[in-house]
Amino acid sequence: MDTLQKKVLIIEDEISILNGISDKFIHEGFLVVKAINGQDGLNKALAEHPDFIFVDNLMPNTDGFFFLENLRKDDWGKNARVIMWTNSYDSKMIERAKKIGILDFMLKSEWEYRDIVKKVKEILGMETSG
Amino acid sequence: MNKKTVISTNDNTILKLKVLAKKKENVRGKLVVTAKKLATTAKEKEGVRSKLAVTAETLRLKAKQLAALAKEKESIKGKLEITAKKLAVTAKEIELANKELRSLDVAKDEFVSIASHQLRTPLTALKGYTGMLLDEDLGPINDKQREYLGEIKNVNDRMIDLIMALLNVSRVDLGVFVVEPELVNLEKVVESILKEFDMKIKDKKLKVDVSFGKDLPLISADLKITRMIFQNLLSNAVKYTPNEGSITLNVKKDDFNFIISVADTGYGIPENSQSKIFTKLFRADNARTKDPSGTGLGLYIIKATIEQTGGKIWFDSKENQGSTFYVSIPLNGMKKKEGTKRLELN
Repeated sequence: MDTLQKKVLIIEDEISILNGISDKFIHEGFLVVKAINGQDGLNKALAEHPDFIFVDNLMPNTDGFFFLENLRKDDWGKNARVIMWTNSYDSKMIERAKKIGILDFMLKSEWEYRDIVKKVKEILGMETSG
Repeated sequence: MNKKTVISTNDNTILKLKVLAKKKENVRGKLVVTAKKLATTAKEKEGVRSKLAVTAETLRLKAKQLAALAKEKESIKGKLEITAKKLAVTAKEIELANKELRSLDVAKDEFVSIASHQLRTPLTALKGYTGMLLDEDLGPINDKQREYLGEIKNVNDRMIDLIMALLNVSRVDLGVFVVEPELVNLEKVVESILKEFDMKIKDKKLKVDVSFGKDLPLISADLKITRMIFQNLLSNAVKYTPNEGSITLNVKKDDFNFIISVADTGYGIPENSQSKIFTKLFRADNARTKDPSGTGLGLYIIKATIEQTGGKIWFDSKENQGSTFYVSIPLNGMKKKEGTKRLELN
């Protein structure tokens, strides 16, 4: 395994989106870990210590806030880089997420996958092309 | 008895009698006058009595009328009390109905939010996969494939825009959107919005002239709303100005307001459409022809937003000559507004 490869955890219940964005990150040379709800995401985050995490908000059983609140209780997790991405734009939700600690909030439908990858590369200090 | 005396006596007597007779006559005359006067007085008295009788009758009638009025007043008062009670009940009913309407509004907004979330999810997936094919992540594509994928991408983006516009309409109609003023540099906002339109401006060979008043201070405004205003005005100017036309954007201030103006040499708004241009879903015929993809919601949304934050929007336009849209924002900035939802941007 390439030790320079960055690892991204994507927590998303919509499988078509999860697979699509994962493929894009893999295509751009990332290692991808997939999770389908908050608890699944939390287990994988604490086990894999990814360099970057995308978490959806509305998911069945355990949502994005369950993930965030529990992640921040962990020694490693309290500093993990997280972007919340969702398709519902609710100011209270954004405020709540920002209070817990997220790098940014993204409205999924506004973003091209290539721009999402570019943003992650910038945050991680990786070289970007184009 | 002395004759002379007698005669004299008689004469005196006659004289006296004559005097007496005259006096009597005078007295009679006076009596007659007095009698006449008495008769007149009696007549006058009779007149007065009759007048008094009339007055008394009038007073009696008036008293009767007053009594009737008092009774009527009493009955009206009773009726008014009943009406007041009914009004109080109605007011309570209206208040309840309003409360119900408000909760229905909130429910409606929630429904629109959830529906838009559900609609966006498949569109997001479609956008992602189309983007990867266009990026040639799976290998090279030919020109025709690129054209078709481009079409899929465009209509998909239109759907996403439409959902966003409908969400914003719901939020401005219900007044649930948030206004969070911060210090904003308008020059920077314009610069970044113009970058978004850079490709279209170059494609159409439009001349864009941007100017700012001297020593323009930072404005206390909601950044998203400010961006939305410039985005909408510039997007319309770019869309509805033919190739090689020009767009002039100016920001200045007067004693009370920041004044933003965006002028173009475009198709203009036909006179018969000008009064409807800010109406929800309205599109002028020439705009519909030039750009069938518009939603007819942009100007409606920004007008409602600008007015709800204390500003104004207006325009001058002549068909085939161009339009100038003006927006004023008070110097002391946009009014802060609590709410549950943010307006969404492209």
